Amino acid sequence: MPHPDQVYISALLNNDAEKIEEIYRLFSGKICAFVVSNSGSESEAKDIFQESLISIYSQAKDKEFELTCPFEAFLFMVCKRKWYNVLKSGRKKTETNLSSDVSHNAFADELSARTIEKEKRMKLLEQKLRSLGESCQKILNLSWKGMHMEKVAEACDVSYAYVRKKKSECIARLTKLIKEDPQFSELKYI
Amino acid sequence: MIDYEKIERYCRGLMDEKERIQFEGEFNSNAELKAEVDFFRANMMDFIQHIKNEEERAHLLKTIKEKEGHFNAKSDDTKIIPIQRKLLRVAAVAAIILAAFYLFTPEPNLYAEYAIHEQVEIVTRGVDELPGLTKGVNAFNGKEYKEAIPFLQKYLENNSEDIEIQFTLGICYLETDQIEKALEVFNAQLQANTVFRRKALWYKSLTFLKSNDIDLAKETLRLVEPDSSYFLRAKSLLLELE
Repeated sequence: MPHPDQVYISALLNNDAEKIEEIYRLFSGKICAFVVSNSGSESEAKDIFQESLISIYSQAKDKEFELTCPFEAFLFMVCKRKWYNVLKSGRKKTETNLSSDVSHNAFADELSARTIEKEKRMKLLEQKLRSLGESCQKILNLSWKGMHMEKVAEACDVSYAYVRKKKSECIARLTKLIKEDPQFSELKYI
Repeated sequence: MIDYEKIERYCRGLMDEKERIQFEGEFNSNAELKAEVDFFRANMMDFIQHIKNEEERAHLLKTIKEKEGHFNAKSDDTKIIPIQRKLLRVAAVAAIILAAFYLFTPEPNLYAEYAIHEQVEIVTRGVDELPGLTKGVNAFNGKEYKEAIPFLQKYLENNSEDIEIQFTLGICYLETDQIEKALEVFNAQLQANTVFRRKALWYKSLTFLKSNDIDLAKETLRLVEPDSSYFLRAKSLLLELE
């Protein structure tokens, strides 16, 4: 049986403005207090909160995703991990106060770790895709956004056979670039 | 030679049964091919979904930004106080006036919505000996852009290599409607390919937005790359402008 807070996940998946407003009203105060008490500003807290909602949305697009803890605990842990990454990056002078009034939840901990790791992986892959040549980017973007390969061939003004061969080469290059990046071997699969 | 297009079609379930069985036979007897199939399944399937969802993500971000006025707002959801009819009429008229204002002057509001400037940190610079810079940065952080400009300009006379303060000065120009000067700063960062180049592209689009040059704003927004931390904001703004 899905967790009752699944409604907030559905709100993000369905872009439900009313519920998103509710997420702000119910949960943003604690996130703000946490960031502000850990060397951040309210504006930075807002950025972290908004980025975390997008990360949760991306994780929830996974067919196998299941909310196994209260939404607040999950959101809080994602924000917390994101904020620590900012602090770790050295951009901020840190004075940390790790305690919070959101109780620790092992499910939220695990789910948020998975969410952040997936986001890191997607960022790395996006970066590698951007480093391919223009034609490769065009072919992969169009076909992965759902365009049929015959239409992709038309859009690129090449033959169907050529575009399929080219796509295979582009994926091969992308795969090689990903594997060669030292950051890739540091990624965890949770 | 490995056919990656075939691997993709297999992993995405786009093969018919005959082709699928044949391909499974192939990779079960070829360790190299099997490793590539496993790699694709573990990494690229999520990524394809991620690319596919790009537009949807941008729409969601647009809603999230529209609702940001509720961030850290004091909770008022415990009681709904009944509003008298007369008060309701006043509220309705105010809403109509507000809606008309938004309809006819969309860009300045959009600008205010999207132009959120990061605070500048001076603690990491060790610049106690530079009170002028401290004053300039404090004025900038306090949104006193006009006041910040002379201090930042003075500091840059002897520290022209400080690209962060150059950028901060560019934002002050933008906020005080010195459009040409702002563009000059952002273009210089783009041309010199500094670490602020992605931020410069975003701010260039905000500059065009502020000067109501919507076509140029849209054109610039389209250049924001997916690995830029401004990408979703750019997509969201582009949707608003289109």
